[in-house]
Amino acid sequence: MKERVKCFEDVIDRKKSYALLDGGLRVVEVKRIVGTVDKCDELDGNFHNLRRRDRQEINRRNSMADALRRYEFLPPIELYLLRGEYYVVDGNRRVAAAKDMKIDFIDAHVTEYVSRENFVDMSGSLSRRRFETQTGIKSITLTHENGYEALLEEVMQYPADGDVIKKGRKWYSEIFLRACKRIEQTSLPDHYREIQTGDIYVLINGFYRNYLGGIPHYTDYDTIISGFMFAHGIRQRRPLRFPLLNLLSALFLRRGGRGGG
Amino acid sequence: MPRPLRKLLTRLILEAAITFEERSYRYYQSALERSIMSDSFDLLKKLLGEELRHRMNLEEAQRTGSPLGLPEEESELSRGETDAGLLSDEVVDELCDEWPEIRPEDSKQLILERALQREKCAFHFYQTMARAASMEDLRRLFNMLREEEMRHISWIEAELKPNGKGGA
Repeated sequence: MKERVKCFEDVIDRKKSYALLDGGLRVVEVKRIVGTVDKCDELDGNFHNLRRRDRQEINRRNSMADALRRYEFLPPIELYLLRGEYYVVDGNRRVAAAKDMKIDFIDAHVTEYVSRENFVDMSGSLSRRRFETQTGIKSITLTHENGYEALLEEVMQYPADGDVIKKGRKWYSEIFLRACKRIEQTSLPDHYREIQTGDIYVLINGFYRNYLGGIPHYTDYDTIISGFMFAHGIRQRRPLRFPLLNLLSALFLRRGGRGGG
Repeated sequence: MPRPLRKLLTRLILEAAITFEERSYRYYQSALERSIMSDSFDLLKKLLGEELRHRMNLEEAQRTGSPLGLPEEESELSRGETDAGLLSDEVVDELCDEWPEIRPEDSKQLILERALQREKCAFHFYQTMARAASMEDLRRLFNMLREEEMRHISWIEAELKPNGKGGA
């Protein structure tokens, strides 16, 4: 039996009180769209219709896929955001086509459900909104949304001319994106499977802020990552640590140190 | 010495120094975990951060081939005689012996005394490195680290003084 799409009604706790926040138009990662609001029994895990014989439906889906293939403009879909996962209000076919074609991002109007009883969720959500409003950057996704506060502070302190929006743009392209790319080339994403690359960036910066008062400005980001991995006991490849090589350097040092050579 | 061999040897020496700093870091990490409520917490945390920074300096030097973050000018101490304070083999062996694990019942005094030994060992280690280094940049890096280890020694000694709250 095929896996069904996640159902919004099953994950939302109707006994709780939620604040509905307008997240506006944003670019959303397709892989984080995991469910739907009103077609739960009709769609499989990839948003394909379970009623295969419905010819009309198949035609509509094919024409949607054709439009995507031709790079035609498609209106933004509508989503609910709940605990870091997106649920489709309108646009199931567009999501199915995007998933089929392995498109990574899609435009969407987002409404966020935040539990009024969960202080961490609520304050995280407010941090994100503050970050997005002040910097204009909406493309950073954090699993632990309280991290946006640290990011906003970093943007504010970024040594660039102009207002926060301009600083934000420069910081995003010159620092954040480059750092995330480096992080993705390491084993850190495997080690922290539950969180996003952006969260790892926040973790690394927080670690250095705590112990060194910030990231040393003269250091390459690979060195920064390496220091973080070492401190957290995450295994790294160090080819120069073979015992034979160590012996060689020890001998050299012994001779050099005592003999003055 | 052929250039590729010299390059490899330099990287090996730096790797040995990185390993040394890592062991110091682990000591302070372990000491810190047991000293959360202690009044030495700030000093141990500061020393932990310093070891991490040293490791980064060394790794940066290893990665780029030339150390970054060096001061513009060498200090008097660095420019001076690198034999100053050089210890005998016996003393070094005693200082740089394997350290026993920190146990929950270890006193603040004992933890700091071992840290002091470690820093003295580190001072000697960089002294030796600076003497052995033929590249100017490397020699300056090791001298800078040696000076910093000297500073750590004075921090710990101040903390160990009766009624003393050191430079941390």
